[in-house]
Amino acid sequence: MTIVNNMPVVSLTFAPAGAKLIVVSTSGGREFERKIAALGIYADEELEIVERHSQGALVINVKGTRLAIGQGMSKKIKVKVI
Amino acid sequence: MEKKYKIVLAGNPNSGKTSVFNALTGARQHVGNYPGVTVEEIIGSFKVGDCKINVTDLPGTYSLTANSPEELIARNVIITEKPEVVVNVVDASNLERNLFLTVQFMELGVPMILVLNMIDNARDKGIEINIDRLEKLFGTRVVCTVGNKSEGINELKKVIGEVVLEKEKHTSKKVNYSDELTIPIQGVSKLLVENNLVPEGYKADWLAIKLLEKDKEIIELIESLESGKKVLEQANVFIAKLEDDVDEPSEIVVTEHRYGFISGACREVVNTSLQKRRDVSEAIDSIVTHRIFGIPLFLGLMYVVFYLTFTIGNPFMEWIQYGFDWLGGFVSSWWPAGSESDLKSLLVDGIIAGVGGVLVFLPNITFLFLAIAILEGTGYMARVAFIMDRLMNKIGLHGKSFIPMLIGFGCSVPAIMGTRTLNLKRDRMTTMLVVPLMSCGARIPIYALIIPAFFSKQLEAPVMFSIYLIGIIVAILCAKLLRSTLFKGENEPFVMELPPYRIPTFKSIGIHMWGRTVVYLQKAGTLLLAASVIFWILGNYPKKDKLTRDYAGEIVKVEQSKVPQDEKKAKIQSIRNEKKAELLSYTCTGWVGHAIEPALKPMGFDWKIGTALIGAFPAKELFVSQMGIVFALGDIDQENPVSLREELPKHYNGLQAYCIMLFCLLSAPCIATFAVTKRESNSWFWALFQLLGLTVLAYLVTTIVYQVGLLFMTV
Repeated sequence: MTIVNNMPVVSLTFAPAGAKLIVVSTSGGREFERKIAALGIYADEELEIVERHSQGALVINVKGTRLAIGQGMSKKIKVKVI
Repeated sequence: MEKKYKIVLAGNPNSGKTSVFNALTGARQHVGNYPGVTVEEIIGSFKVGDCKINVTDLPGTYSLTANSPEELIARNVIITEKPEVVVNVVDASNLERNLFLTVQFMELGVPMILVLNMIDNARDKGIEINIDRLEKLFGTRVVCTVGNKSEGINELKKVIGEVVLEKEKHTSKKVNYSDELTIPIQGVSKLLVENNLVPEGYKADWLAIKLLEKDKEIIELIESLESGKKVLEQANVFIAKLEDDVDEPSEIVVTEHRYGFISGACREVVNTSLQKRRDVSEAIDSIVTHRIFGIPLFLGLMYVVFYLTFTIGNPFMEWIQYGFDWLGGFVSSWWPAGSESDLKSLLVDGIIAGVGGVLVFLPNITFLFLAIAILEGTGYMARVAFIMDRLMNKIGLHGKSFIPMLIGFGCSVPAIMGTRTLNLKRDRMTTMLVVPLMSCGARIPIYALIIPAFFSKQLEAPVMFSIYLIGIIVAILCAKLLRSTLFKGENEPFVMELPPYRIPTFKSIGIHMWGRTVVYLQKAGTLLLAASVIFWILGNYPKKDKLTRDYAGEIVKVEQSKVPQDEKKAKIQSIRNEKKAELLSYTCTGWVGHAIEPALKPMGFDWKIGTALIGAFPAKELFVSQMGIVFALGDIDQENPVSLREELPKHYNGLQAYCIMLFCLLSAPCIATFAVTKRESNSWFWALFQLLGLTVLAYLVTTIVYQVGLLFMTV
């Protein structure tokens, strides 16, 4: 059910705040991916950037809760705008 | 006869699980550690009818996969201890995320009760939940509660009472995944059954799901069984086919299907009528986690915490001090005035003074525990960890390491106990080992003695500041060193839920604070008692038989002389003090002080400082009173050590004085810190490593400072 549109795939670091985003892929190793998947970050899931901090640290909204994400992590999540 | 049942409480972090636990069990709680790990095991109990129900509060987790020690413990308790029922607490206002764990209990096929906690919050948000429908879908009883107001708790107790009696009836339903996932699960499950690879207590389907999730623990478990490796290879064929079909790793497919099942269930049972509006938490967060204001705001708040710790704590400290003074006086009065008894000295100078010297800090420690409990209870801690993560990352630590390190400025004990919030052992150990470098409250009396004695008024503040700063810099360097040698590994990526802000209840804060204080007293107390006795023996034996002067005779002479009464008293006291000093220099402590003098020389220390440093091992601030004894000045008032302040500059210069402070800052932590490090690291090795490592470090740094300082002084 992957949504097909022409928006470019970017890492979460560079995605616009406030827009609805969809996760395209995650990387960073099995353990890490499984861990963030349990928190609701996995391919085809929607999320939204609530606030952007310096160097890629973010607060995102996913599955009804807000998650704080460190700088190294946002690079490992690829998203696109829907 | 009373029947006993065992149940567990499980749920996500921030689901209000602990408030439900507190409401169920009240103050009847026992806090321990799971063997081998620093995860708290909290047990309580309550009664329903003639049944006694023992409840274990499992650590809060999002999942039951081997992602963290908490998750492993949660599932192993359920598998091996077979509780009668799993009471799954979920945040009613956020079902979708919380049910992720619930689904995993359903996979385990255990008897379960679903508790929709904070139901008031959900109603405020316009979320309506169809309870009957939910019960049918999941095959479990559902109870609505408001944990922190104790609403629905009696109903929950009643339901627990019913369920434990007929648990077969309440075993949760099997989750129906689509064929895509069901076919490989059943395939692997059949393989395991046919090859006799389902150990006691496990279910084949569940093991199959875990193999699809590539769960390390379960893979190792199967591998360890006969022909397990062969069967795993066959199982991998199923997994490979699944991954090929959907072009995704199988563990992610499992997660997606779980969330898929949940979102289907939520569509059926949840009805949201209100539009989402920007809530209070978000508004607060826009200030608290602000990229510019966030850090200053936090530092300001911590300033208030420390200010209150010491101002509110001080009167209590004085009471405790009075209490121990009174006790010392009372015990002394059992012996006739002026008599010298070893037993009296052991009780009064050894045990009462030693234990008292550390226990005076109890109000401060308790207050810091209170502050931590409040900051955690409101949800602010998660924000602090987030805003500090970038800074901490630079020294190879996690954002959550910042709080323990900061608490270390108050007292190392609560700081080290605070390191258990860190998930990775390498982060936790590194933080634990460097925490004592944060200059704690017990070092302040040392600085207060030395700085005014050696430095001019204008220099006082900068000197004090430089000491604190050196501690921080050394801690950063040590953390970097440890993370690149003993505790190598990548930085843990930072991801943390920012729960809505809540006002914690008095009860929950009280239970939290009290529990930790008791642990501190138990652990530090026993070791402290032993240390006080040992250091008393070292500081009193062997006794010198032939003294260089006839002190008793001198006292008699003074008493017979015709000087005013006041002068007489002072003279007698000074003779007694001189005798004490002579005796001390002959004891083990004094002997060691003398023996290591050559080794202390490079730091500019003489045997007197060495002796006082050894005597100050139980608690840092004892250094002041030990110096008092060494210099024959008798008992020193720590608050106002005037006589010692006048005496010291006659023997040492400013550089030496600075080196004393530096050494006290960096060297071996106090006995209480040692005890807590042992407990939290679960190893004597790391406690000793910290003790010796810091002492060697202090020696090196102080030597360098002294030697370099000497060069400048001779120029």
